[in-house]
Amino acid sequence: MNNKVVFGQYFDTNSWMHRLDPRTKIISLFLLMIGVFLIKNLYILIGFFGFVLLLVLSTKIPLAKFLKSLRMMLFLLFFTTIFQVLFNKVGTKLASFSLTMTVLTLSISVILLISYFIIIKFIKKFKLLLLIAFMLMSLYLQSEVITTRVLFNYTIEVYSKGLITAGFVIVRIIALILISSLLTLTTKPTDLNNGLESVLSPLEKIGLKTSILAMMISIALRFIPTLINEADRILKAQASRGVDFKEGNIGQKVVQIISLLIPMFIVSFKRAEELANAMEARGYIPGEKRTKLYVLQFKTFDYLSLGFSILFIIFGIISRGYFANTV
Amino acid sequence: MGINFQEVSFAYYIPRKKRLPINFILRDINLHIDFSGEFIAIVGHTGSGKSTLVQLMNALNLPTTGKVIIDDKVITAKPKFKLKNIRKQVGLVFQFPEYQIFEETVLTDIMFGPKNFGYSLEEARERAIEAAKIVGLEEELLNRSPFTLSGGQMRKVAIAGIIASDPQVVVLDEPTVGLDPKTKEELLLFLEKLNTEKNKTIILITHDMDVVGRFCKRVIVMKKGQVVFDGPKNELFLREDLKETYNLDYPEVMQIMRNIRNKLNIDLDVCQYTAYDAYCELKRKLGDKNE
Ligand SMILES: Nc1ncnc2c1ncn2[C@@H]1O[C@H](COP(=O)(O)OP(=O)(O)O)[C@@H](O)[C@H]1O
Ligand SMILES: [Mg+2]
Repeated sequence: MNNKVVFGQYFDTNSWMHRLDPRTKIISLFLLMIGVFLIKNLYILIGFFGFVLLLVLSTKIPLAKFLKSLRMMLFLLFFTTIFQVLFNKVGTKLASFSLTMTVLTLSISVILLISYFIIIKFIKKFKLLLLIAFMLMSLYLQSEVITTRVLFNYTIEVYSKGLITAGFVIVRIIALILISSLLTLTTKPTDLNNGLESVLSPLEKIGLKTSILAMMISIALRFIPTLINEADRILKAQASRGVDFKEGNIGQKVVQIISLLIPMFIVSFKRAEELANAMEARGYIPGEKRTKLYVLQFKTFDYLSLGFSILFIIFGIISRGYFANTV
Repeated sequence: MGINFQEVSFAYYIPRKKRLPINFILRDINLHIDFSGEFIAIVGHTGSGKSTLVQLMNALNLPTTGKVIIDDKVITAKPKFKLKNIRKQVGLVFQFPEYQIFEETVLTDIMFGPKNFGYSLEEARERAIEAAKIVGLEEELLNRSPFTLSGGQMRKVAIAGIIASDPQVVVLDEPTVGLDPKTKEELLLFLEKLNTEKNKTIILITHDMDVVGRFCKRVIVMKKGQVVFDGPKNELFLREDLKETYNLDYPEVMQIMRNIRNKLNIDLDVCQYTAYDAYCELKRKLGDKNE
């Protein structure tokens, strides 16, 4: 097999975190995530954030990999910030801008908005930065130009609480994303699955079949590349029968999709049946106890990490009592 | 009129970083295939790039460098025209029919191709019925669901689905694998008929040297992404170093003829591909001697 498609984001640098037991990572990082929410003090939170950054650096994974998952959340961050800054009216007033919407500035703003949408068609990068730039331009115009007919006046007021809450939200979300990326970047999907199975195994006692679930996940992981290959073949087979996926009206589109879906189902079911037979032939019984080829084993470093995370959580809880809601 | 490969190299993936090497699956392919009357076998090890090569012939794969000229349309890495017409001229049948069969009845499934290529519903139906007849599907099967058919029948449906669009070239990727001997024989015979009576070019990928010997005229041997032999089959099979250079076997009948020739040390025309031809040749040469 030389068409190995690696799934998930796993990036191998063989750092200390890569070598940790997946269970350690799942539990510790889960504890850290809880910690993010426990901390109520902005300075402690920033200190904690620094710690997460140190963890990130210690994995030796290029930062671009982390930034990639951050980028997806940019819009969310952006809007929560805007909302907090604009609408949170608690605390001391820090600044206020009075703005005037006139016919001229309104039309210019609209033009700016339209040109933004045209420009992002051509410039794929820095969309968000562009949007911010355009909005600032529009706001600036409204604070300066008052010559033509005035439509309405309004003021934007920024309060301290709004800024702080925005800061909290930003740091928390970024920290959460970094922590979850730490897990997915340093753990292979299969290890992650094994770890989860083991961590969740107490749930078997209350009747949840976590081992079957884990088996399903690992089979799914194994078959994603295979099914992508099959989909590619089906696509080609139909293309050589004259299906042109780039064109067609809605009716034709429906037929095109059916012509892909039905073979996809047939092939998947066939694969599933073959696999089920092969598994049964090798003695797999769902839910029955199985031994593992690679037994997960805690090492000293795992105990250290776990101990540290637990200490950290305790610290987080105590810190609420001492520094509660300061700033 | 035909398919022309000019210095074609092909890679499935081009790494985004410029300095990484490109993993070329095919390298420096030069070929000419006529639109009429050829019967070509493509042979070679698994993974040598046979399937990749035939997918370049109907623009399912686009050349990474070099060009493929089909009819007189030049296909490069980024063609500026619709590729559909090319796929009508060069029909490609994949190995596994389940990758393409999806309609409710055999007939509508065979009609799917012609309909896509712009034939009217009536024309498509006529062509489908004719194609079904050519591949030897019984009439009562036409209204059955294709999924109730046997593997061999399904493959016939898949082939009919291609030849119903009346392509000039029919390319088949390992069409005989997993078929029972009778269906295999039928399939090869109607391909031969298509070749001789309708003057279509047939290209098939196969590992079966007996099939190559009996049916094909020209052989293309692939090795590690390159064409290492391209010529008439007799020229290939007359080589003494077939095993060493190309890792290929002689057709069974020919192997026997070679053994007889070497044992008896007589002048035999060893290029015989059926038992009957071999018998005639032996009778001609040995008969003389015995008398
Ligand atoms: N869709 C694909 N994506 C990436 N690599 C592929 C794909 N199809 C085939 N290959 C690779 O191309 C090489 C040649 O494959 P193929 O053309 O199928 O050979 P053959 O048909 O002679 O067995 C193989 O190394 C295979 O792994
Ligand atoms: Mg192949």
